[in-house]
Amino acid sequence: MKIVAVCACTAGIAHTYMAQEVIEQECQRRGYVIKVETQGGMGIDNELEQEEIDEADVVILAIAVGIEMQERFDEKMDQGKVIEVEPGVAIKDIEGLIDRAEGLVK
Amino acid sequence: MKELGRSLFKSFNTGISYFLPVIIASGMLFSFTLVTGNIVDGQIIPSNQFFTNLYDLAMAGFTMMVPVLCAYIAYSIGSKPALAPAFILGYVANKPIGESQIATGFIGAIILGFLVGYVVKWVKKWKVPTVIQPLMPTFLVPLFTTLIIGVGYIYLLVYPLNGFVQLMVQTLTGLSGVNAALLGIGIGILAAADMGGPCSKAATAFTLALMAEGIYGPNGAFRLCCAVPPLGLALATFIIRNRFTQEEKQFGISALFLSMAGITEGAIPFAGKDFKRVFPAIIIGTSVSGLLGMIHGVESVVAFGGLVSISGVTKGAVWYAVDMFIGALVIVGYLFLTRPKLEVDGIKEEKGE
Repeated sequence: MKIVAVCACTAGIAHTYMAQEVIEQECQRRGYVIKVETQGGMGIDNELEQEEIDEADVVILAIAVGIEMQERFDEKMDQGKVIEVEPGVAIKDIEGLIDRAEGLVK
Repeated sequence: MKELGRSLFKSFNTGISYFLPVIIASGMLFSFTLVTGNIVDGQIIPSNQFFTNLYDLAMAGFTMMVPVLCAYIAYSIGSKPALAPAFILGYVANKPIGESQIATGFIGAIILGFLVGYVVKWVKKWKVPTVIQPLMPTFLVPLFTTLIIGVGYIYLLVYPLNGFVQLMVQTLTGLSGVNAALLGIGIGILAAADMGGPCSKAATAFTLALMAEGIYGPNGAFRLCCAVPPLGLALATFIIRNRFTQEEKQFGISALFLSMAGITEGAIPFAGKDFKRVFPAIIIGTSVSGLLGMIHGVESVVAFGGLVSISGVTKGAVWYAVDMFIGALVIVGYLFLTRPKLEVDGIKEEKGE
């Protein structure tokens, strides 16, 4: 399974990167291909290409703020393949979040 | 309804995320002037031309921060075309305008940000003839939105808004004695409740709004509170070592650094592992700090917490640090009483993994 994610929190210094870490760890543990873009205080890092988004089975948006280039996900949104949560939710219950992602694919 | 609340909150947070660096840069510059300058009747007299220049830079930042907040709230709703009208109207909110020369400051800017965002979003959906299409984003949308909302604001919206702002300011200015103590406890609880999440941001918005009105006490109390949860937990891992795992002790070191900069998020790893003990500990400890901060009349003029920002504390700088540590020690005490000693020490645990 391929997952792409965007993390962005309000201040862009702590939650963004903590969410990135847990998502990457949990996906690697389960053997999924994962790429996480962060939109933190320093701007966009590890930016997702449209191609990567199109290929992904699920998109996870762990965001507390409006993100740049949200329209990249419009198609996935229409297909119902996008999960949007607060970054804090991802950090607290990463297993539950990835379980939900699995549920979308089945 | 819940969906609407969430989307409003997300837009508000977007505004805050762009606004924070502005206020931090200008607030810190302002604090440099403060440390070196003399305060005469609440006015700061910079000590020389260089600091006068820094002061002017800081003031430019303070002027920018309200429009930036307004603009990026609108941006997150209506995207690019919402920026121009919201920058203009955010500036207007912070500036006395109209026949009665009313400024509505932060609260006005936040409301205008939402209004601009939704109006732009609506206008964007208009079905216009193809000939006019190219004129929409750079000409019609900004002009129409600024004109309609701007005029509506000046002739209608300022009056109820002004009434509300005045009421809030009067209530909080009037808080003294016991009430100030209660306010301090409330600020402490908000600061600790979600460790840098929405509750703390609500408290930030509240204390900043008061700062715009020249009331610095709640901001002082809040800024010292921000540092208390990570500081308390960090001290706990140093003082009562046998109650923490090796991993938590490492979190302790980073929590210490985060607390110096007033970043409450440093407490999260601890709360994640042992919520039912850590949560009450930080709530109690931080509300003690908030209470003491208000009682001691700590005032801060910078929107940045922790010990590094002590230069922005204009009143009760010693209490700022002392109250912070008292709250942190309360956290240590609470954890000492409630956390069990660990059977395995750090080294054994590492081997076990």
